[in-house]
Amino acid sequence: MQATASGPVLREGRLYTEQESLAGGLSREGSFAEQRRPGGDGLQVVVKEDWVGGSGPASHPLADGEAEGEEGLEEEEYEGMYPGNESSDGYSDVEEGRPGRGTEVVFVKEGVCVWPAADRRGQRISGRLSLIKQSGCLFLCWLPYAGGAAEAEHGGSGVGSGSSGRQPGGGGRAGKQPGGCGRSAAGEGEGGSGHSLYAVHPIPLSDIKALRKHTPALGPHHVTLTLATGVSLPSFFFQHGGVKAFLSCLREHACLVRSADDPSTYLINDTADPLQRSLYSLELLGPVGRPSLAGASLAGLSSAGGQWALADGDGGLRAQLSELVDRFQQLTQSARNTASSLLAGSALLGGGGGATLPGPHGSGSGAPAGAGASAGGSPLASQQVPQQQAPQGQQQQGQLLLRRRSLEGASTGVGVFELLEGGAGCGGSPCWRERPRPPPLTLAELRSFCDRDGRLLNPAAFRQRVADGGVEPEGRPEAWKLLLGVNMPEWSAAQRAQRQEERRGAYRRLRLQWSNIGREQAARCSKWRERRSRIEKDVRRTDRAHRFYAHERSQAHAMLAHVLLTYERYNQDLGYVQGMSDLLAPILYVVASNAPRGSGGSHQLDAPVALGVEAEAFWAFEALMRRMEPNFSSDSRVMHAQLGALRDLLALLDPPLHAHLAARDCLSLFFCYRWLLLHFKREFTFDEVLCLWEALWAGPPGLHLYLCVAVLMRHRRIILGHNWRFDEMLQWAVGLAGKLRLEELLRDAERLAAAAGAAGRDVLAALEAGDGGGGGG
Amino acid sequence: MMVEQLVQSKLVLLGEMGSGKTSLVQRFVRGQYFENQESTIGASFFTKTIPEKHVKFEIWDTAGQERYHSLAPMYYRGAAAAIVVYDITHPASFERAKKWVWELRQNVQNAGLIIALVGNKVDLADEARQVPEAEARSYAAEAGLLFWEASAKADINVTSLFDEVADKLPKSAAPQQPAGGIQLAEQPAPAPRKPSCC
Repeated sequence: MQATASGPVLREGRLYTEQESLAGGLSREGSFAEQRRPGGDGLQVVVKEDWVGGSGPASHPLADGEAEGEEGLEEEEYEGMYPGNESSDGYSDVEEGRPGRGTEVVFVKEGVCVWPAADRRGQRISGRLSLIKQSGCLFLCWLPYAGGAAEAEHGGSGVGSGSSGRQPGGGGRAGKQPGGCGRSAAGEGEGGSGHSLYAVHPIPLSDIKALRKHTPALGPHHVTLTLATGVSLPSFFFQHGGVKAFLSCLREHACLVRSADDPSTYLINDTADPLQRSLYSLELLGPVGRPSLAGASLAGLSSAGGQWALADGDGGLRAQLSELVDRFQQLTQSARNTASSLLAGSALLGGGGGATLPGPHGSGSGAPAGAGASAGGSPLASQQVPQQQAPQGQQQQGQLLLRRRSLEGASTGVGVFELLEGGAGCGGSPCWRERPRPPPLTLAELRSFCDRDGRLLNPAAFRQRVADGGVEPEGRPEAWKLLLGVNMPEWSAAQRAQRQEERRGAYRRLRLQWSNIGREQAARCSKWRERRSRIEKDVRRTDRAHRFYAHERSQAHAMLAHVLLTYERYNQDLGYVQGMSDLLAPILYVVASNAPRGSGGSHQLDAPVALGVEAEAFWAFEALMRRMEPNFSSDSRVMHAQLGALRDLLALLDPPLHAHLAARDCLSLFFCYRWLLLHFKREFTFDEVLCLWEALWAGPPGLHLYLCVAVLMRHRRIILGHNWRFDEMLQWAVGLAGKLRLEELLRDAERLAAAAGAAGRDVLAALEAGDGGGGGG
Repeated sequence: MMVEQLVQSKLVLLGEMGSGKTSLVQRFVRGQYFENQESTIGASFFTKTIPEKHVKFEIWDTAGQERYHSLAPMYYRGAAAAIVVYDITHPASFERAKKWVWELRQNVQNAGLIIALVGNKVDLADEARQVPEAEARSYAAEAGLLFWEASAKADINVTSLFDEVADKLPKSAAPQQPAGGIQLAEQPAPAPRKPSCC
């Protein structure tokens, strides 16, 4: 909680967070177990095809003398690497902050088809229709089978199996195709080349306006969905029935109202958000003709005035009601627009008490209050004493609406500025996260972004999808390679497989450069010994709180060291620099945890698999280092440039905070150094870092800088409320580790990036021009 | 009860990576030790008061690697004391410590700067010592440094070390330059040597 970040906790410095992360690591065992269980076998096969490929295990250098780590390891030590579930008591807020959690597949129907051509003479495309619940919001998703009709019978559960682990039935057949998202096998009869164009990537139910059910006497029943924008999706044909089950599942999670005019048409809204439901219900009042709805909805608007609720159920008040409805409809639009902004905006109110912000459409107590306030003509977020608007805020681009208020209880007299946001999300860049966060991208969905040869059809859409929802653990190796540029979007599956073979060969050759250094030679080269010892020192203390790296002399440690040693050979100008092990550890984990485990139930990777894992981790790391290397320059010039850009962005987005820091000689912002150098690797839990990094790689350039601004602005009340000097700022900043909420900060960062608009882009362009990218994009 | 004014003293830890700087601070400040203390990126800041000596240490713990050397001046500027740490099992770290001492002498204006040379990991002395105590001690005497061999892990001499530093501090010290005054404009730092190939 931010509130506790001041005062005594600060004194505790790093140690405190060390303990936290240690315990946090234990508490995450459960999710790891989940992840391995259900989707397991299908996934493993995928990777096995990838890694083992054509190369034989015969000549792998893991067997050479340098591989000390792998030898003599007792079996029980590996058992220890994967202990049973531990209590997660006391770490609930860490857990909550993890994107991807709370994903639940509530409905799956196999063999649901669409006909691309309106006359249905074209070939149908068969796929899987699912309803996925994520953080209280329901999403509808339809993904075509890429590999043919056989899958329809298989009844797999690719969707959501990775993180939710609640799906029975194990991995889908789809997962057994080699080559990740690439596939060459075109479906017979189904799944033409354009099949992926028809994929319906998860859309929130709040975006769906209406559903029309067709029940012809002959032929399959089907449903047509109309979006709030007026666009209709292609009809879904339930080849094997199931429309009723679909509807009843929808009814469980959303408000389905049968239209008075057409009994086969249902109006839908997402019940997850009381405000949304209320407003929708009001709108629907006329067409549906059920006045009682008004009462239900009005009750949700606590501040809207009790008198309106009187209308409930009283036909005599119909006239009054319809007037109210008119009034309500007028403000519905603006309320709906502003409510989400307010919610997200109020998140930036100095973060007092660490208030959990619901998603823009998520449920939360802030929603009705926000709507009520805007109805009253003063669009001020709740929670604080209003009054005393100051004009300064309005100098912000016209996109960012900042309002000044007296800070309740604060003795500083420095005003608090709140990001209320006016159209920020729609300025320039697409509406970042205006909508609820969709569930993470699954491997099956990733495949649906590709054509039949495995080429990524729309890289921008793919990136946006990742930026919005992240990636399921089993989809990460492929997705990360695309995001980092190890694989190019235009490569087919065959090309990717070929490149992977080439990369393996190249890695193997690089690796020989150090693995061939024998004892005699090492004795004669102090430089080499020094570098090796530095790497070994840092490997020993990298992410020890995480289960994967928990055990010394484990295979994970050996692989970490091998990749770093190889990189040291590969990039000798840079050599090994502290922090690199932090950058590599998540990558190696992602690659290794998706690789097949050894036979006989061992958790250890077979040697050739381990070598393949090293190779893939190495090249992904190499790609990441291309972005990050400037940060490690010995004169720190790029880090200074980045801190300078951060300064400019802060001045742009939060002038009072900027002024406060300037007045206390803290504008060096050097307390943000670690955030920038390692992209918040140390500030979040290991699993959160995975989510964070893919969001940074997929998101707009410079997002990590906006994330820094977001962290500062989230804590602006604390900062403004103290008269901290630089050293105290540093102490505070270091102490934030493990206490930050990733999802809300990411959302803030995206909004800030949008709000900064052209001026923000200028700052980033200047940084780029000065060769100060340092991981910018 | 008479409250004597605390003397605030800025203290900086320098030394080769992995020599145990953070562990020494953790032992001193919190009385704890972690076997696999993660590396320090940038710097950390701690405070610790020794009431009986009326000293409040403001401790800057820095990243050790040469690569981050250019940042060091902003951490040691204005320091009243510096603890230069090496690892007694690691001769190169001792050489590095000497360089730090030299650099401090060159760059820190404060003539009264107290420098303590600390050979850490003395718990490993029997099995793995590579830097003889006598050699380090004579170097320290020559260079006018306080000298201790210590172990953060086994809690050997850590308190004594900081106590002695506290004792040596000028009692009526003028307030140190506030740490907030740290400037970004770094002093010229010696460029790292071009790495050579084996």
